[in-house]
Amino acid sequence: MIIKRKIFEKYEEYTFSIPYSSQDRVLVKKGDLVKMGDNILRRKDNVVKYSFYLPEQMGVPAEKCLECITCIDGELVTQGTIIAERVVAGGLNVKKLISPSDGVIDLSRIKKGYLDILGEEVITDIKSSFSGKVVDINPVDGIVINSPAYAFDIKLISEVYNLKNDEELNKKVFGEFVFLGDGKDLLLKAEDIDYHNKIVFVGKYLHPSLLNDLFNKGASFVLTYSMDYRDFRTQGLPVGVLGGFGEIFTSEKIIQALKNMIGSFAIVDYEESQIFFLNGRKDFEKKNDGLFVYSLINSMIRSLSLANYGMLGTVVGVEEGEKPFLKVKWENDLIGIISIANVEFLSL
Amino acid sequence: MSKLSIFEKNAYISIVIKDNGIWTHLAYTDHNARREYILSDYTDLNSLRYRLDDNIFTKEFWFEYFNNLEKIFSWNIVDKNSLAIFTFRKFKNEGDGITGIRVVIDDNQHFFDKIFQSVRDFSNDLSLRVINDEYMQNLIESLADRLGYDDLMYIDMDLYDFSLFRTTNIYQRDGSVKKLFSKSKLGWNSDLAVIDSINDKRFEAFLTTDLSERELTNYWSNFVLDRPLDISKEQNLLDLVRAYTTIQNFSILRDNKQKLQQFGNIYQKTAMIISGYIPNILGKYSTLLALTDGLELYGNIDCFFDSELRMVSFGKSYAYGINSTDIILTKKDVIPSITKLLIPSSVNGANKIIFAGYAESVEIPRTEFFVLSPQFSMISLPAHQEKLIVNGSWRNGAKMNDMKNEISFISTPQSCYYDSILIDARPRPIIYGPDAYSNKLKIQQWKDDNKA
Repeated sequence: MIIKRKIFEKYEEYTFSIPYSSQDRVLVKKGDLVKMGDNILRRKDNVVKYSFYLPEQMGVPAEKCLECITCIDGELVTQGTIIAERVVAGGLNVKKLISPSDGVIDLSRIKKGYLDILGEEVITDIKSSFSGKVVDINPVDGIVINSPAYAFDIKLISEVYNLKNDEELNKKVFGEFVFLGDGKDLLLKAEDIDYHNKIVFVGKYLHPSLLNDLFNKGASFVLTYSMDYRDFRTQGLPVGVLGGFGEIFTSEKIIQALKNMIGSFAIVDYEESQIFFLNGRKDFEKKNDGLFVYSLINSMIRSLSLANYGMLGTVVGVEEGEKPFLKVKWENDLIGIISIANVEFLSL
Repeated sequence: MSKLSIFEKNAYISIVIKDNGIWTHLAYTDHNARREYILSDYTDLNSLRYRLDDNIFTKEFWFEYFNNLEKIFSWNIVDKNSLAIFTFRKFKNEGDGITGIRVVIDDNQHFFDKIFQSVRDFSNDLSLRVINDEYMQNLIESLADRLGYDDLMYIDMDLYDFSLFRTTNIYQRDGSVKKLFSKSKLGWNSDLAVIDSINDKRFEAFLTTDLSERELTNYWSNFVLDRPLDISKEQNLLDLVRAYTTIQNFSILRDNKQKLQQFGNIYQKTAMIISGYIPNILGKYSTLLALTDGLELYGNIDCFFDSELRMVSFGKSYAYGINSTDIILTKKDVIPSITKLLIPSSVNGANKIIFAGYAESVEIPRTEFFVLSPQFSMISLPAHQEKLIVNGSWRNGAKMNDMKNEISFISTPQSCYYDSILIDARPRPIIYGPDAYSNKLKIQQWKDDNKA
């Protein structure tokens, strides 16, 4: 019997919470039904004037960045103030990081190796990009909302290595789901925009320089279809890999399906290893076609063979035997034969 | 359940949930008509691996599952007249109904608690069991008695968990027999741990592939995460899995030397039952190579490859014979064919005949075979309907630990069917390395005469 993997699994009731701080003003009440476009939170935030990636600037690993910082979280610094310092070359030299402008020090991303200098305060209204019900509001959990959601499996999340207890494993990252470019091209730099509170999908392959650039620009989480496993392991930033490792084939159909989610409010759930899209759009309704494969012909498959790993195809014929072989029309329009034990059945 | 008459017709389903997969076997017997068979089906749950913590095994799931199973087995299993309450059809005849159903869940299965609870909530007609140490002890002790082995090891090799269970007869002075049970395990708790395990420097020592480190880790990580059911065409992956298996077994041996020592050398009747994902994808030859080198095996060992988990499903039913409370099964369908593994403790020189033997039966003329040093040679025995006699002797100074020069056994279809012999004619100690290229040459030499 064959069970297929649903690329998007619909959950009728997904409960999540949006954290808020004491400065923010909650604009909804418990029991409210939230619709798309409704204001749910008035957030007071400071504009990020500068971000520094200390492992690059000071030559220390992310977990040791705090040791070289000479200021405290929330401190008002002026232009020219030394904000980080490290003795190098066996004590013969001192490496210094100097504030390029006046601002407030923000160390909220210091575990990832980032030091931010904040500017003036801005007030923004957070609008809902989903529909759901507010089930609770409290300072500990935040605004707890119940909403339908679509889940997409994340093969691996890099930070899972470093999470030590259950509380950390329950970690969730929130943000607006955005695409970098059209998801097809290999990019080394991000666009010159602010990526704060955004979950960024970079497309087919993630290069470490792009990853650092995105986090310099404030990204909350970076998703990629593929990347090199060594890079994945050695960098210390939160990255999720959707397709696999190495330079693998990137399915056009999956990229297209993810494009439907652009602008959605998304939650990366570390424990589930899934990203949940709270998509309130009526034009994105997936049909529930069951778990089991009833007919091999016309089924969608993904190749697990090294020769065309990750390529999607449609079964056009079956050669019966102890281990049946499938005749498949691949995404690149070629027709080939592959063992049934070397494919994964999918439904989009 | 009352005891069954040996002549009564019977149909019983056993479902094993293990290593993200469901093995279902339907055993049918009609001893009066000498009719007995097992129908099998496998469902890979790996595509649901991120969702097994959800309530997957609902009533709807099982209803759909058994509906499909009915079509695959051409057997009426579910009572369709009572859709509201899930009931199984009472056994009436061949193809219609079952006398019982048992679900066995491995305690290493991810989200075990959730799956166990959901199966328990689903139906009261199911008998629910857990594959734990106690279950395995009971299983292998009863199998050892029934099959007549003094030393029996069950080796279960999944990608994340390696478990070895061993039962050894200890003969007392008063003639009584005590059983000594031991277990040795090695497990990884996450995908990342398995992927990163290839960073172990010992891994390189066993590899033959000359891929770059980047390619190796990328291939390996994709393999671990996807867990394909067939990699027979992917030589690099096969090599990685063989090296991984050798290291895991070697680590188990290092940590459990006391429990595993002398296996194959104490008694004439020694056997291994090998099961799990890894033997299924590696095949017999590479699995035995990894086990021989990883566990540093010597001696005369019968190897059973339980690739469909039939022994886990119905091993106890077979072992209990007419005392079985579910179904009475004979050896034919439960016990797989045997590979005779012969590993001498001493082999001298290279390119010399180390073992020479022959096989013959009333239907097959005498067929001779021989093995040269340093081969690790698998010899397929001809398919036979009548008893096949296999005789052979060690040559040129090669000897087993028991110093016996002759090897002789009889393969009997229906009860004790040998399909192959694997003779390890490599001089000891086995040395891998120093690099992948040397390993490649060595393994080529060992495999050189993998004749059928």
